[in-house]
Amino acid sequence: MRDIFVRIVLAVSTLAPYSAIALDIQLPPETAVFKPNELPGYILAQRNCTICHSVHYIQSQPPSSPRGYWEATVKKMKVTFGAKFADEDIPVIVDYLAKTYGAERSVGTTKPNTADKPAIVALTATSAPADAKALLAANNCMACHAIDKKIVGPAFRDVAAKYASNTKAAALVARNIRDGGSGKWGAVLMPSFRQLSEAEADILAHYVLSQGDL
Amino acid sequence: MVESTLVLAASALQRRAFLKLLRQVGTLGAASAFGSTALAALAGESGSVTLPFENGERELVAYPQKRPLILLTARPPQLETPFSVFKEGVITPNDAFFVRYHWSDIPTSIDALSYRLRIGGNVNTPLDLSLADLKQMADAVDLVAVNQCSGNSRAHFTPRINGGQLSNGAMGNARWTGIPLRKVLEKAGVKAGSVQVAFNGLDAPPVGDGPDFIKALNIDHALDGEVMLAWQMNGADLPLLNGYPLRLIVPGYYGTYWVKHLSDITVTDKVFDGFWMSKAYRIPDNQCACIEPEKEPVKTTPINRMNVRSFVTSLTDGMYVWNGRPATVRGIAFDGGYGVAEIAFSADGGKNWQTAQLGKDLGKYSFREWSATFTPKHSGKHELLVRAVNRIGQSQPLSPLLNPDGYMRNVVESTHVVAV
Repeated sequence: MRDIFVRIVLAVSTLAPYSAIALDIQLPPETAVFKPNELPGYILAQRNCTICHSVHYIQSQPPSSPRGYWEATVKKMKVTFGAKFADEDIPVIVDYLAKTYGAERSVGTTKPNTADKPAIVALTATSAPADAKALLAANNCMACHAIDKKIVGPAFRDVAAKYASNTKAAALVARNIRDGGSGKWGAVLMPSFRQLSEAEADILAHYVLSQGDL
Repeated sequence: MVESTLVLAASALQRRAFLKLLRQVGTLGAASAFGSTALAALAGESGSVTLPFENGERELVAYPQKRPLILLTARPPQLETPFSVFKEGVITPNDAFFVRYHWSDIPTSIDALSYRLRIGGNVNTPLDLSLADLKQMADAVDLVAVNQCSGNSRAHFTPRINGGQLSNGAMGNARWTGIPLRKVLEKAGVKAGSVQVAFNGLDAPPVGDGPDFIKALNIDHALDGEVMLAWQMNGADLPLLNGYPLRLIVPGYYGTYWVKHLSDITVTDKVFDGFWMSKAYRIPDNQCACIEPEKEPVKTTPINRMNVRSFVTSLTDGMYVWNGRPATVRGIAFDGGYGVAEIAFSADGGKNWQTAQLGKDLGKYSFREWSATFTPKHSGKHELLVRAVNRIGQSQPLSPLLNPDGYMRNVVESTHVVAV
């Protein structure tokens, strides 16, 4: 049983002469995830595509879809639809999609071609000490989050407020960053950032939680 | 507290749906058709279906105000109506009506009292209207009309065409209640030289500067008195996912024009050139709206009026019928608003055709029910075909017409049944 319900909120306002009637729905949690494999585009797809739409758009396409389709579509997402990924990420994402969901997929286990592995943006800050701002930039966190307002995901300030009195806040937020998931802040799925080390997730968690102090 | 009560109510509803399903299986056994398909559908109701094309596995998910529907995409929600719904009746229930969005920033909470519709652009008096204003502006009118997605049935093309991989369930027929768009435009006073009217709703691109989903109609069309602003379907408020509290109804036209959560109407003095008119939803600008395989159209035009379609709804592929006993086959047909004139039915793959009986006429924009009777003369497979003709003589092709985006599929449908 999914906990789906429609709430008709009857809020009696002292300012209005009659009750306000709002139709308020809660969408079911999003569950589709990208197929994990070792292609470098896997993480880029997670980080970029799911900002705007669920993985269903990709996984429901005909398995015969050729590389040209994926290339045209990824470019359309950037040029026409305003997605924010870098030009050099396009062939990496296309390679993952064509080999995982399209005509170049291998049946059964996916064997990534690592011989011509394209260079990708560093996922984690390689130079110590790791810096929260560098991690935020490298992982494209601010595509979905802002300090003080909800974008796709919750405002950092709201996260800080939610966990303000929780003594295990940092550990919980760090785990949520690495595991991803949905339901805590709405139906939209936060991708998992498993490529972050626990130390890096901890740095980000402390950064997020510190935004409540401002 | 409110939540747990409603969860219980939802669970009771599901139980009722399950019992209803059991009854259907019972009646199927006693009637002209029975067999494994019905049982498979029963099992499928619990969570998934497999549509008849490669990669056609789909979850069935109950969204708010909806029964379990075929989940195409979760964000934004795109839900397809299971085809079995169309045999329940000629009107598609609100909780089974398909859902299609383009952008994922969709409204999930709408206050009907603070909701506003703005009318501006090339008008004498820009308006800012509440729902109450709209309801008082003119007598409410009712119209039964089909809303069908441009890409309905896209996944049935061979070779496959990319885009939303829909089977035949991105369509529905409802009784819409509202007022003619003309009344609102007349009140605002359309200035001379106006060319089009553009429509925007509350859905928006989630981030960045993607092109907002805005559609446009030519000024004469917008003023024809039939295009409506509707707040009800089938006697109830629109479900949120179907455009609450107000949507545009463009009878006879594909669903892409039926803008949901309508918030802004802008009269323009030139052709509106937004992405969703000038680049997307374009069809070859020729008589058949079609191209030769592998070719690009020379010239395109915005998709517009629906073509003729017909379906068998009482039987599906693989169902059994009794050999030697008359079987009544039922279905639906519709077109872009000229009205269905005649329906031909064949039980032998097109060698012989008979004229089907037409059901009650709910208006030229509605599904039209039809029925035909055939008696299998031998055991084994029988291929059922249905082909409708509208009042201006348009019909359906025996092999599908192609266009680059897989729109407007209207090939003669075939259903294979087995006589035993």
